[in-house]
Amino acid sequence: MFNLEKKLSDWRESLPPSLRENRELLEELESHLREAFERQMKAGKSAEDSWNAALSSMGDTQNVAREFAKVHRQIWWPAWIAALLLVVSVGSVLALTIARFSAGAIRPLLATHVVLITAGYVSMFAIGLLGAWAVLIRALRGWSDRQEIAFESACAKLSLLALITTLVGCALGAWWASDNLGRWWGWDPKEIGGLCVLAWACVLLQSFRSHRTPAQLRLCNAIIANMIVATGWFGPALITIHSYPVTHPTIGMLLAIFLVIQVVLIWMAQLPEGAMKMHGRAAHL
Amino acid sequence: MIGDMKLGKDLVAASAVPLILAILEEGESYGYAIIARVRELSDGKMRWTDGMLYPVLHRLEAQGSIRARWKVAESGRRRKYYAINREGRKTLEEHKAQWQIVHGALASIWR
Repeated sequence: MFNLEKKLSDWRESLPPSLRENRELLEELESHLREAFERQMKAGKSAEDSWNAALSSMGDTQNVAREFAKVHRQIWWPAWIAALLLVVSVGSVLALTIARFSAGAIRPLLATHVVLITAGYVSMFAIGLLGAWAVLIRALRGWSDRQEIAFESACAKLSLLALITTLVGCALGAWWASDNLGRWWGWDPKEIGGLCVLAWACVLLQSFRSHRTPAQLRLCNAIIANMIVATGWFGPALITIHSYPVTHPTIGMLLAIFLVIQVVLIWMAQLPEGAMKMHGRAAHL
Repeated sequence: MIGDMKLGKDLVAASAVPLILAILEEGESYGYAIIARVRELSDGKMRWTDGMLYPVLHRLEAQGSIRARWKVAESGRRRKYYAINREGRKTLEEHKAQWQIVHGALASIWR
């Protein structure tokens, strides 16, 4: 026996939290659904067919929730912190490089390469930082559509920045190598690292621009960015003669700890939303 | 927002705001009636997904182009009615001017 109220109740339960918790919007959508159902019934369809037709005309409620999240978009301050860290880091390297260039210690080609590669790598770290933040908040407090939209938007922009700066930086590096080492590409660990970062920036860009990518996969991709950049940037110090201000064992230990933390974060990304929720605290960050 | 017609997604999305504002200029209305009016105006060739109309309505409300109020319909059910305001009429005029430019250009080249 068809029961409209039961169908409506099930439909309400199936809605994403952001729609379900907005009582006014819920009433508006429900009113629409009832009206659509009644019109279908008047047209002579059976109750079940009328309900299915009304429901299908509503469309994918996940998409509706995403659109509503855009309407009431808010400032997501973790994105601004990541952007600030990026500006400070790249600004510092830029200032240092200009100083070295002024002192005649570095040539323009290599100086530009250093600044661009730093911008690309730090952008990837910024994505990793946002990913880590998202994983923690999602597990501890739950994750709203608005946060997802803000996370997606910030990471899409950072991915594009990382892709462009790393691509141009690698090209300039190859040019510099051609002039100074007599070859464009030598499969040096740093070059391989740069190539891996470049490839992962492409993956991230696609991941954050496509609405089809599952949210948990995006989180994992963001965390993996941390692993790739950390290994690509600092890993060569363990096996090559590149000069670093700290000793190889220290770099190795710090890198290992960092990678283990990322593995833990990837595991946390697999947990259901709010799995480690602290009761009595609202999810608003 | 797209239905079964051959209209491109971008075109339907771009025409949503002027269509909604133009329909509301005829008089206040509510979600279901707006969708029905769009279908009527396009001879059934434009079919919006119902759920996607509301984000546009809410965005227009947030932008101050339309206002909304709840009323009890003859059926006894509460409905949210939307009405265009001065800001919305201004926005509609801008959209009309832009669409007329597009229409004029296409009409000239396809003559």
